[in-house]
Amino acid sequence: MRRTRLFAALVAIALLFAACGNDTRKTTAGGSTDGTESAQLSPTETLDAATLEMTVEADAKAGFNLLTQTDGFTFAPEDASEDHVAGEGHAHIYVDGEKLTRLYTNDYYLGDLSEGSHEIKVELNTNDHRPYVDAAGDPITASTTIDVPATADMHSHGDVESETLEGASVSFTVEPDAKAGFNLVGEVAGFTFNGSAASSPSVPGEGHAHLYVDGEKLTRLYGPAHYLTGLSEGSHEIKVELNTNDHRPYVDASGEPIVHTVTVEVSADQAQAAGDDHSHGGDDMTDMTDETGSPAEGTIVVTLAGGTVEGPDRVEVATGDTVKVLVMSDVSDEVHVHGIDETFDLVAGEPLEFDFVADIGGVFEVELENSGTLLFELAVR
Amino acid sequence: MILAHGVGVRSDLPIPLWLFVDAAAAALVISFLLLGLLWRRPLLATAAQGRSVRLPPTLATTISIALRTFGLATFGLVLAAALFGSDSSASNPAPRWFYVVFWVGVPLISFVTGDVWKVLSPFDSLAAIGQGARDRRLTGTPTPNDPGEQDSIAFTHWPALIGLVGFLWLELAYHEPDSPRVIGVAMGVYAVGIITATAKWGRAWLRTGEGFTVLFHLIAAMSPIEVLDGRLRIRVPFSGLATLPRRRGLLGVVLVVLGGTAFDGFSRTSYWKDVIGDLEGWTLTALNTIGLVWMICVVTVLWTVASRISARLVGRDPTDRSEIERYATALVPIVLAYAIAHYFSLFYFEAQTAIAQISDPFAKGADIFGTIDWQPDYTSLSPDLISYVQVFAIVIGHVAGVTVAHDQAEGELSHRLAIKSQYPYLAVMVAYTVAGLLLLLNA
Repeated sequence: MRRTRLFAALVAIALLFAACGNDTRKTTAGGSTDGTESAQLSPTETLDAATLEMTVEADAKAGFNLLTQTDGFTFAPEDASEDHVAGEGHAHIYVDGEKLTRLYTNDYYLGDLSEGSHEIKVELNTNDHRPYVDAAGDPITASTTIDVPATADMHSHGDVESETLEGASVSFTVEPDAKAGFNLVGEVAGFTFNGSAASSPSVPGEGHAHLYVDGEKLTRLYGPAHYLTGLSEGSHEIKVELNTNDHRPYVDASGEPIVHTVTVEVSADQAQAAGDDHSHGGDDMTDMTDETGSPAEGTIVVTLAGGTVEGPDRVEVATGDTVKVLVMSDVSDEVHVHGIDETFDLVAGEPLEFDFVADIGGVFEVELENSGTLLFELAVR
Repeated sequence: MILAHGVGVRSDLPIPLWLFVDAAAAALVISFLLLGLLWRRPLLATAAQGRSVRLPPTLATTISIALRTFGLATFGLVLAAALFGSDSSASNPAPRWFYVVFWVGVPLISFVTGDVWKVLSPFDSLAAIGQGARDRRLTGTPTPNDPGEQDSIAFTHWPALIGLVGFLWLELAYHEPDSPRVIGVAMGVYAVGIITATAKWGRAWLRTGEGFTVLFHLIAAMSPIEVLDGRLRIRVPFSGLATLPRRRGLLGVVLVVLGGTAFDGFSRTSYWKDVIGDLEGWTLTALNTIGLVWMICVVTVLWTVASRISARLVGRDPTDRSEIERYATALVPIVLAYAIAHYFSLFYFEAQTAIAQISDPFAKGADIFGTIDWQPDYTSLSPDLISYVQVFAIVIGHVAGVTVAHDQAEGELSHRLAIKSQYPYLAVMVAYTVAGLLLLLNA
């Protein structure tokens, strides 16, 4: 009798165990993160029902205004380079296929384009810089082509009549980004940003802002956030000033410009990481994984230096995914992708980019053929 | 597993967490149910008799000779390919034949068809030839093929254990296990050693002293088919374990193979990969050797503790050495389950490649058997199916192990004591099973 009861109790416990186990049943869709290691994150994130529309209009004065409308997505500049939160993130702006910068607001001022035809593309990303894809697996992007005329003379403010705007204010903070650069995140009161109306007749209460670094105007702000790169080592004064549509400064009731200033200390490491917006690494291999110089979205980046491999240990993809890889190595060898059974020549010092379709299920090694060094494992579900 | 450089194009995905939990729970539930509901008298020994038919002698002899020739010829060809063929493990068929067709394939097939190694073994075939020749020369009558009751250590299973440890070390610890030359040398040296031992102790020695013969025979004991003395026997699967002749060292053989397979799975987890880091060469071998030995020790200690507790529970002497060996056969299903879980997908794919590659053993562009273009379809076995088979095998192996131990206990003790004696073993087998599932989860 006692034994029977013991058995019954043990069976009940075991069944309870099994029932709880069923609750943890997950479908491994392309974007879910089962693993506990960040190295096992999916290279993309699915965001259903999010839309992105974009227009780029020539500004009446100079430059171009990039205006986006997003639905089902929230810009979260304060969480940039932090953990993924579904539905939020930031965007990346690409000019002619090369990443220009991060986009933290719907509207952005493109002031620095060279003459000629350019393709402008915007892509939605997660906080941790992975591209958002729609239900079909395509990245959520919008792009357009513009023609940039020969640049007119830089406009100067000179003596301009200010405009009074009572009860308006602006404030912001500048924090170092976990990956590279600095995040300027702030808020305004009594004022509305209107990027599409820039360089058009003034409308009280709306306009844009000017961003000054160490007293020199850097760019226009069309929203209360901006991704700052290219700051050299040392102390810098960052100032944001509210302006009317037609570039006249707003002043408060006592005639003072409505501004906010913050001083930022940039360390040597931060200056190095921020780098130049258009750098591609070149000799310095740490720049290969630098945010502003990084290659196409979702690429697996592996660097090999002095026998040590830096990159993910294991990458998870779905069967049928196209896998893109970038390898930078200080030794020449051949990269062999098991399973798919393809080999690619690797030359020391030259970046090797390749892609393939992962159409077989299983775990496959991607390794250097001659030295036998394992670069990473590819887990194809 | 020998993944990089050749043998094994792919390895299995980790099983999903929910499958792990469900399987572990199932193993637990079934175990306790079994302990409460299983039979009270030993049944397996009778079930092992099964039904038998006499095989037509000519048919039996023809098949036997055909298989023996095949076994000898394959051994010779693989040895030659290993020593004289291409140096690369990707194109040389030897590593695949050695690790996949032989080490994994023979036991898997034996589980279904009975002990094929009895006739495939080149050592036994050579010994048969040698013995026949010697008999005719000396006495004209064949020497009996029975190791009898010799008590020397040579006739325990300890020599078999040493041979198996050597193989496992080569496969799992050595830093270049897939090098054809190393495999060739290992095969050659081993063959010489076995032939020498057979010359000294007789052909019957192989059945106790040759590692692979012993191991494959153990696995075959679980098969529903047995061919013995000209009779084909059909019986309940796993029942053959109840009638296995027992010798000292049997447990050692089982524990070593269990520990080795466990280490194989463990070496693929990220924990061990972090331990290894960038090591290579003999440093890597040393570390892997330590890992292999450690894993074998772990499974041994667990089993030893269980046997001590069990003996104490039923009034036997826990310090008696033979107590550990008492339920050794219950581990054999778990060994096979581990092997299926870790290797069956490898066997499915790489055996096909092995059959293709043997047509060109020396990498000269030949196509001796016409199979050189055969390519396995890597999409023909879905990762989901593989996961289910892996988990199913481990759970079934666990159930079979518990049943075999219980059946034996019922034959030796009163029902009440039999149940009591099984608690510690049940705990250990659950531990082995959950550990096996954990290895699949962390692949």
